Amino acid sequence: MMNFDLIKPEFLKRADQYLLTHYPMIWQTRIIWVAFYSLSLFTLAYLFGDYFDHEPGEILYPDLDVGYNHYLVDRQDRLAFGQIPLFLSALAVFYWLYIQYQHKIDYSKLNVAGFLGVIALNFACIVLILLPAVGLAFSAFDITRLLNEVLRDVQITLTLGLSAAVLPFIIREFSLIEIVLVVFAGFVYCFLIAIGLRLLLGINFNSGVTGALFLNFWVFVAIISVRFYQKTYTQQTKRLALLCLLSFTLAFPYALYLLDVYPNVNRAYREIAHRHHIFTLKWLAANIFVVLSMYGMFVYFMYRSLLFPIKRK
Amino acid sequence: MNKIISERSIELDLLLQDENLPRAINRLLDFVQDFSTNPQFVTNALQISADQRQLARSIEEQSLVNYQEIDQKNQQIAQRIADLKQKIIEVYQLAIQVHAQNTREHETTNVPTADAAFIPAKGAESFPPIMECYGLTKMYRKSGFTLANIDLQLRLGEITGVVGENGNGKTTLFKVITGNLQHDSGKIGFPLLQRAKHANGVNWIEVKSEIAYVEQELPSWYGTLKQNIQLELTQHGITGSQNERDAAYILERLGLTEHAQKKWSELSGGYKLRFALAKALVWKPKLLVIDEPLANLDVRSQRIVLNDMKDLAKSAKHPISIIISSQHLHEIESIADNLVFLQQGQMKFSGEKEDIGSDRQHNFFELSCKLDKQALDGLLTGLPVTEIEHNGLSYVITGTKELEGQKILQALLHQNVEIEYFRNISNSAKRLFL
Repeated sequence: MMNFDLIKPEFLKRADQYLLTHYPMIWQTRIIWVAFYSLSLFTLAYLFGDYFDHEPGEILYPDLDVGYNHYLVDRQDRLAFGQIPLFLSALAVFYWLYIQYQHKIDYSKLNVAGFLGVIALNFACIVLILLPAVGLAFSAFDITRLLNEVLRDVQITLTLGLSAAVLPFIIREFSLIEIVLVVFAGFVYCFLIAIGLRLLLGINFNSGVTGALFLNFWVFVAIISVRFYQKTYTQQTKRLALLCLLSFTLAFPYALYLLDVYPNVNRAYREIAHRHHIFTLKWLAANIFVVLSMYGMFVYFMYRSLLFPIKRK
Repeated sequence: MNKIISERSIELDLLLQDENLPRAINRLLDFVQDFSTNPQFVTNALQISADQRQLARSIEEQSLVNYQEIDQKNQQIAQRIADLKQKIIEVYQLAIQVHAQNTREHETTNVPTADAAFIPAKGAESFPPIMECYGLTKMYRKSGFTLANIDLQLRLGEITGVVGENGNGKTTLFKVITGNLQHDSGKIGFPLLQRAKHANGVNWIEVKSEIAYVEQELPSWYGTLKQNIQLELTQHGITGSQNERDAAYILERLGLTEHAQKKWSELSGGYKLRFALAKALVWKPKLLVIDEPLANLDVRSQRIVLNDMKDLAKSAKHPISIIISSQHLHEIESIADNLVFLQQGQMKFSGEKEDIGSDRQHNFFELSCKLDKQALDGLLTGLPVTEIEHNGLSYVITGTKELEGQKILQALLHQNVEIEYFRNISNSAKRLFL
């Protein structure tokens, strides 16, 4: 097994030790190590991508707008320099979550601002973990269309992965298999609702089914909020809360549509990462700031409720 | 207060006389923790402990074989222990005098008293209980199991042992006490831990910050052992150099210094438990709840862990209330002040361990020997024996209260019977399992 200690700079070890003995909430995010490894990998990825840099548009595919699909079939750039690194980065996010799972951090002394601060740090870690994939894409792709597609994938992953920033607060409440089963059950539940509404009531998939699931989502949120407030929660309530937290990023674009931020449902979901509006201020404000703030307040409420005894039947 | 320090001083002297250096060093570490706030004394004690450990290793590895040299080094360490103890006592007595003087001045001039935070507080018995519950009941509808009518009081400095067969409600009781499981009826309170009343009865956010719970299944952790200890300290507001000192102290005290840089997967079961104890004790909780800690330990580790728990619970400066469950009756009885016996969710006994069997009608003895039941019965004829049973491992001899162990032994030894094991269990929790 590789000994990572050999590639850890001494000054970072000292900084890590300082954080450990002074600022445990920053230390537990492992942000300095995430930043160190991610920025190092970003640099390597950038140099590596530059090595493979070429001008396919000028040599093999003079008219890329027409022959773009042929280009994608002939070459696997998008897969090799875009999606595989993104997949590996996503795995790294899971590894980071596993480390968080192993830390049993006591957040009970934090106030709301503290929760929001830790969530912001967690989010910064996730952004940093995705950075090498962006670096590789930037250096390897000279075709704007190809680059935009990869960046859009990164942005979708980042948006949908926002819930990872709050999982460290509650992840220890569940076993790993329980988390997998909750996600699976959520998929099955949404799928059955969608099929049922479509087949039995003939409701339109795009707006009708999404609207019904959105309403359903808030009913669940109301139930778990009451249960937590009254301190009468059970393990099932906790599982439902986990499902709601994970699916909030899916429900949120529909709320933006209802608030008239977007003219239609499709637009609301596509604007998560529209190819011409990648990493815009609108996306940052709506999908990052608002979602993380709402997450922070809900998790603060949920975490403090979980300190009270569970009602088990 | 002087009585406590002099008793502890005598205990240390006796250990040094017996040349029991490992135990003397443990008690020196407790001594410095209880009666001193001087970081230099702590550092000195840690250094003596490290030197003793080094010496023990040299002897074990046979790099030091000269008996005279070993003896000389042992004596040097013993002398250093005695010297440090004396210094601590001198500073402590001086502090007591200053404290008394300040108190007198305070009474006359109403000025703030000197900081005498390190002077141990009054006796534990004068405090209200740290936890009390009355008629506590928890029912599982699915399995039908009910833990019913639990009346219990836990006090600082006392160890309460909870015994009972598997599935009799020990873990359920612990989960309720630690606020991990809601009870159905009855009352639970933490008079010493909760400052103000709360709408839901117990403010678990406040109370849980003073309770350490070591579960039977120890959870894994990330990073090194020392990092986790330091994290625990920082989370409880102990930062900077104090953090380093306290971490070093608890690691040395629980014999973990040599394993400080190890990770979870590199530790054996015994060291994992000691790590869990270190993590639980390092921030000085008021209540320590330990579920079946002895289950996976060898005999030597059991003895070490139990001794440590006993010492730390009775700390003069930071006494802890410990509630511990185990199947190892003899071991639990040896350290517990109070015992609780659970049977099918009912509390069959709760009180001081000396009170077990005080209202008994019979005496009970365990005997292991190579005789068959008939022969044994024959040998004990004439004694007030009412029943002899074999439980698979040994005989259980039941008799009237007039039946004495000496008489049984005399009868057997008179016939040259080889006795493998004999114990009077009339006042032991073991008789509750019969």
